[in-house]
Amino acid sequence: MLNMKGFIFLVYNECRKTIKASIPSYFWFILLISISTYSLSIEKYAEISIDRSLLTLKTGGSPTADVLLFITSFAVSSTSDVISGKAPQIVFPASIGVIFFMIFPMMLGLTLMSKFIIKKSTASIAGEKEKKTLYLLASSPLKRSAIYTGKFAGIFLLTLPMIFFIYLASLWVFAGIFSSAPDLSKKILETSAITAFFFISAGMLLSVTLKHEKNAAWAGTKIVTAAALLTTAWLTLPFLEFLMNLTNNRTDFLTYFEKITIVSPFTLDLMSVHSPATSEINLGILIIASFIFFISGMVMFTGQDIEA
Amino acid sequence: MISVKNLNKRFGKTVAVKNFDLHVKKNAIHGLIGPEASGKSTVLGILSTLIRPDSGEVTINDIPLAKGSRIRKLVGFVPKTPQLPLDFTARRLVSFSASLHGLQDRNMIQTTLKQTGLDAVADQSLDRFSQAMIKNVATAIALVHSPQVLLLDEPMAGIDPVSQKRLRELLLSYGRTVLITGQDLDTIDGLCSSITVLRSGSVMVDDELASLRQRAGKGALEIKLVDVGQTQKMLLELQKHGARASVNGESVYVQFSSESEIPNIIRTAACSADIMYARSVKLSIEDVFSRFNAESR
Repeated sequence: MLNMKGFIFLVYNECRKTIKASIPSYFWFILLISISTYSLSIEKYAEISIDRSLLTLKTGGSPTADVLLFITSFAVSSTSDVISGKAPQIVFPASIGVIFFMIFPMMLGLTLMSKFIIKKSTASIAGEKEKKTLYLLASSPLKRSAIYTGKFAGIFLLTLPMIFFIYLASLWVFAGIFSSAPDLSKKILETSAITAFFFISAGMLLSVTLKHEKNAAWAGTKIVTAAALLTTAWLTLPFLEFLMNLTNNRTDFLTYFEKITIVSPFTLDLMSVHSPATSEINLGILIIASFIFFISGMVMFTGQDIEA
Repeated sequence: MISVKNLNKRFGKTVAVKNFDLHVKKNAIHGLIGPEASGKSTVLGILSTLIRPDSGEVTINDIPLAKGSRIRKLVGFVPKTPQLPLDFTARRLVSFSASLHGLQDRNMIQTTLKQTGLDAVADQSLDRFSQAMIKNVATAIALVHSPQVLLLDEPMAGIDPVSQKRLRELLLSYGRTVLITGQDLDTIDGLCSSITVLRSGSVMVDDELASLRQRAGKGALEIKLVDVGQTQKMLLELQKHGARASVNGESVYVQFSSESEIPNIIRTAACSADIMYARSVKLSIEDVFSRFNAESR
């Protein structure tokens, strides 16, 4: 039976010992998300529909496909103004504004949050094993699984302010700037929480697997960077396809490349927010992967020898 | 009570513990003695459930080792060189440890801090503590939940004589099962009623201390001569009178089982050689090894 008091103290201690060091990360997070969210309000948005018949893209799943469609549509519709010497006034559809929010503040927030999580989670086991302070917890009546879960819960609690701030930012944009667009703030909250869960599980698995905190942190940071790069590649695919079509090049390989970019958790996040119809599947993949990492890490940690 | 049967543990290619048996009676203080890398810390690591054994049966107070959580409620463990988070104070760490056991009695925490000599420095950060004080904190952490079984890995190593004296008094008055390790018999002198001697992961001797002293000799007398040339003559004379004597360097060592034998030994030695000095040397672990190595041949 779980020693509930001991478990709560463990979670409290995990939060307490790193909260001070987390304050600069919170500050920069809030600052950067606020700036990128506020910058969206500088543009004008209106209820404008996008003519989807102008372009057919094989890589049309990405939200930037809509951006490309809008730019193409705007270019075509403002041709007569340009010819007559008038400067065209661009007004973005609210749906495009929502995509800007997804790509900039939301993705920035998720990437920063993931890097923060990786730093904390890789130190949670590997760091303590290296310093040989883990014996304190491992020699208490708490089971190894409870210790692992407690550390997980502590990191999740530390991440909550970031998740909450992304949600607040989304509430602000959907209540104000994009009031005509469907409110995706709850979906964004759900996505942020699941992404946090994913990266904590992955980070802790690395922490259990690798002996040294430095190696675990390095591997974790590389994973976040690689995921961000894959998602960036996914976002640029429609533009790449458009350019290659213009120059009469083959674009079949782009659909294969698109499948690779879906491996990134950030791509799944964007897909689930952009296409709510497929979000169950996308978030489900993240949840399943998170559970696999979590259980694997816990099983490994339970069987390991702890040096005192 | 601790019962260990046929315990084995290997780290990669290195055999740390091999066919290890141990039986510690309830409320006894038992010593586990052996040189560096003999497997003492590994045995304690296994008993405290930090290390998983490869095979063997272990029970503590009739609870099998597999019931790790129940074992850890009974056991208090102090590692050889405890590493503790330095941004805590002693009081917070001991309180934290008590909380992990579901305890929050401030009086009990204060008593534990006082018992381990930490009451005056309890609210100082550990980064200002010496290694000896950190060991005292680790001892307080192990004691705070009043464990039925105490496992102490070389507790006297690296601590000052005042702390050693305090710890000895505490252990003698504790009244529960204690398993204490050390590299020499000085560690357990006056403390343990029984000992197990380990070498290379295997048990060499497992006996009551009084019986062991009788078999190996209580101590030795070191005799230094004015003229080193007389060493062989004195040695033969001593051996003729039944003394267990051996030469080491320029000194002759004569083992005795009782201090009452010392005057006779000196008298015998003085008859055959001019003595510069004679002094008592305590029985060492090497003496035990050489004695029991010789017996086993």
